[in-house]
Amino acid sequence: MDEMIKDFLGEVGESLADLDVQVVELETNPNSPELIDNIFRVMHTIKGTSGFLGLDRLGQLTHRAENLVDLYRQGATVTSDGVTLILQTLDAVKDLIDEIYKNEGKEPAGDDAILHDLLDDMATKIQRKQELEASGHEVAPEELLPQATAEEPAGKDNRTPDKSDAETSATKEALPAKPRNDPASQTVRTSVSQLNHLMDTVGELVLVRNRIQQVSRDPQQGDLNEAVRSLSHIVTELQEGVMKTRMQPIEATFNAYTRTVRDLAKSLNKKIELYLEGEDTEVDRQVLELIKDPLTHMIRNCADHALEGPDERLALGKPEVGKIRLRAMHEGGHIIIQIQDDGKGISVDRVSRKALEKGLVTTEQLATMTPNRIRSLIFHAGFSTADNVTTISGRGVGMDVVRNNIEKIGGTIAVESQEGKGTTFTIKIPLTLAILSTFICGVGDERFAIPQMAVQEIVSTRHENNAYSIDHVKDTPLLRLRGTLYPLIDLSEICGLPKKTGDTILVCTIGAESFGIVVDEVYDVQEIVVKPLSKALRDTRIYSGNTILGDGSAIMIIDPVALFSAFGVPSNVADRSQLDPTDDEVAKDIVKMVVFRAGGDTPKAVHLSIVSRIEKVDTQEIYKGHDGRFLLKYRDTLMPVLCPSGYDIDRSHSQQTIIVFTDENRALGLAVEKIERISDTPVMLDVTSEVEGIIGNAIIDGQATEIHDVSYYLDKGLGGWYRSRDQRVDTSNLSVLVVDDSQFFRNVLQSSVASRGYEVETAMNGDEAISKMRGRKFDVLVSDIEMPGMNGLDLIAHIRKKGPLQDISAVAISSHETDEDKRRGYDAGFDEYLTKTDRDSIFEFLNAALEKKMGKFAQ
Amino acid sequence: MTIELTDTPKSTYVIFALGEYQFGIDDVHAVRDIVRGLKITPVPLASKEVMGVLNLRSRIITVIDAKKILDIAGPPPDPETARHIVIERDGEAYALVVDRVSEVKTLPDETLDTLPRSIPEVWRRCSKCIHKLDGQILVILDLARLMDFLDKNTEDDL
Repeated sequence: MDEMIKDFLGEVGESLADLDVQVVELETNPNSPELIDNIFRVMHTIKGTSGFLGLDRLGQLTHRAENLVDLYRQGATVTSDGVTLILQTLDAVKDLIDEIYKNEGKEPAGDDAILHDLLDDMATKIQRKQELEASGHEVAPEELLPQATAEEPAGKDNRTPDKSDAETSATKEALPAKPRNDPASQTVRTSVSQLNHLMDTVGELVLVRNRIQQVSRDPQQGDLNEAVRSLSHIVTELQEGVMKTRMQPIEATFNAYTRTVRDLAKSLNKKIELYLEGEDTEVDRQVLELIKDPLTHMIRNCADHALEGPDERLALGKPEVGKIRLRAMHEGGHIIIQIQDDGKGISVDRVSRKALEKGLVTTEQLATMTPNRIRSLIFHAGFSTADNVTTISGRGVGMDVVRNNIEKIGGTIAVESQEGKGTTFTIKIPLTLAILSTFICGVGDERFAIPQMAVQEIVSTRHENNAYSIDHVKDTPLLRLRGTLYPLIDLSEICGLPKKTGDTILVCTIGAESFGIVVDEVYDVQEIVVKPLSKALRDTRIYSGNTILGDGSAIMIIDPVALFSAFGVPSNVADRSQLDPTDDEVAKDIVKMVVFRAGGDTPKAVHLSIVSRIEKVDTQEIYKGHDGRFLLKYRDTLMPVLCPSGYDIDRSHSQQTIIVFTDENRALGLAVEKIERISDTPVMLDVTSEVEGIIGNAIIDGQATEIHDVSYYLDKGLGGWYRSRDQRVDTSNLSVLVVDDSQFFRNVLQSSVASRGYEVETAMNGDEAISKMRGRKFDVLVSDIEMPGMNGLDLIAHIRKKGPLQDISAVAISSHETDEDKRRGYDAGFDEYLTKTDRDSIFEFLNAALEKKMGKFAQ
Repeated sequence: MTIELTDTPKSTYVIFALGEYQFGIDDVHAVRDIVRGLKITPVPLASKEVMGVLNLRSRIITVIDAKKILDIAGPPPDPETARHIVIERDGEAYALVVDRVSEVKTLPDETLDTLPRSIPEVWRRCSKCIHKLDGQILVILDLARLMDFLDKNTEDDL
């Protein structure tokens, strides 16, 4: 295609997309000169250029539209019919442009006579009205109807262009010059295929980087480390940069819905207003393309089924105008899109009835389901809530198609609704399709990648832990975790691979469904470049693509959605009503984590209880001390500042974010790139880490996150300094037994208590504690209350009554601390009852126990 | 250097063995590469013809067991002698695993013959013709039709 035509079409496409919104605005704000000018200008430009390029149909059409808009510019009243007509013309222009694209720059043959007539008629009508008004006549409506229209437009054709040409060039000049010359805001056009190619190449680069990273882990390659780290840094930056070029604000897509909603409201005789939020959220254009249709469908649904007509709304005491709110935002590496309406809401009764009718669920199953879970049944194949299929949203397409489309791009969709109040659909999609964060899992001798987005948490059944168990219902194994039962899909069984341990379960949630995938091992979290499946592999059902790992091997990427639909709930356990959630008392350990970024791709987090504050300080105030440590002048004192590995003080910014920890009157800063959020999360430590300073990895808000060990930093930053100065007595004389069913807390407590020199052992429940205490002597027992099996209260009662170590100093640590809880704790035999996160008091207790012990020795 | 003066029509073939049979591919240009000894990652649940995937210079290639397509029984290819013939189909790369690649050879079209009736139906479907060489039959395969099983698989799915 001619380069010039291509450029022209690209430009026109953009202006037209903008115009759609403006024309709709025109209706609410009919005589805004600015709007009319804009519309006129676009029409005029298209007309002018298409004439030059020999695109006659396009020229004719825009010429007529321009005439009409010109009349509006001169003061004619914009009617609703006029807006409709302009919209129709714009549609025709868009169709034409599409055709020209497909035809390699040539205009298709065709006839726009009807539209020409309509436009001309409207123009004539207005002109006649103006003339009559000028001569003081009252206008009868019939008189406005055009009579001899055939001649007039033909005659006008010859003279109008010159006139309006002259006029618009004037308009153009009069417009304030946009600050186009600012080099920073200048843009270039580039083809999508070129960007895709660039993206692919960067993808390859990421793979090579991963590979080199792998090699550099070999301790013999010490010198390589530094170089690899900077390579990694550059590649990450490059990757982000290239990804950004493919990013587009969601604005254009959102704006198009203004028109959709307007047309829908008109044809449905409803009053609907669309509110947009977060239009500047940037999304990969490939993702944008793929979510357009599902979104359109859902908006149609909102307008057609969810929102009531104006009378009904008034009768219900609602505002006459129905609201649809479309909102986009970024959240932890994903994009969230919400579609919210203030309509009827989804009736649980109706969904239930329909689901029963279609045999999707049984009455017993329904009885155990929460209202929103029942509503999620609308995503099931073949389900359609509207009793009558209408032309607006019917089309035999249901929400299952929407769900499929979203899941195809690795996204999820959920629904929440309140009857009579409205419905919110929440779509979560990955930022980009090209690069995927995955868990590399081992099954037999093979490895598979499982997208991290679907995985809620990873449970290892290797070490006995009563927070979960494997139950059997009719011989089918199920994972019981915090009172919920999950069906299990065993990859080694499905794939016919030998099972090694089968003791690692990835708990996945997709829409309303939750299930576990059983693998032998989780090796790593890796960003992978998704490569499409060849035709020979496309019918294998359970994969979404393949990729090349750092070590050069090709591996398959599991598609959890497809896996679940192929091997999901075994029919004999589909009835979840028999699953009694009795062990609710094994309360979740909800902890607050500060999630932050500091180099690398993985977010990091520290436990909030040990953070005393988060501050921004002047970068200049941080300088390197004589021993190589960073020091910050901080309120008349010097505070050591550390950087997590892979991150350095960012001298290019004037301010540096610091997380400040305090510990026994000493403060320490941790320099970070930025604070993402503070998250309430039930932390399950998934992969324990061998790396110093990192406790392990956990899923926080659906994302794999490195949990950093503050005791390590404290130790490193404050060194033996505090130990030698502040610790009058040798803490290693005190032996402590920490009992907690949460691996996370065990690790946190163990490392922080050990970092002060105490001798620590851990047990994961009461039984294990007792057997450990039988084996050796401990001075202090630090025990959680809520534990499966023998809980903390039972444990201390048992010890006080029957031993072993009947007179041990015992402190209860719990997340529940009402007076009643405390009283029960003291009654059972604890010496102290503290909050889990109150480290200072826990250490005070240990210190007191130590002094007491040393005192005893002294006597 | 000898210059062929005769203009007897002739063609070049990649000749390889599957079990005890000799096959040839006349579309030499379609063969992108002949490699060996690459690590194959098995793909569970794939159709029987698929042996797995491998990484050839950062490209993922689907590995096809040619013997499975042609219903030739026998042990799995010996990694020592087996070769992967890399071909393209609709922009996707496939590697056909064969037991041995003997040579790339130019043969005169004179020795060409039509397919004898006795050859198995699957072979007939995937072959063009045969060459008779020293009492041995060399079956010339039609690459496109050999790979047709891919379309068949999808149709079965529908």
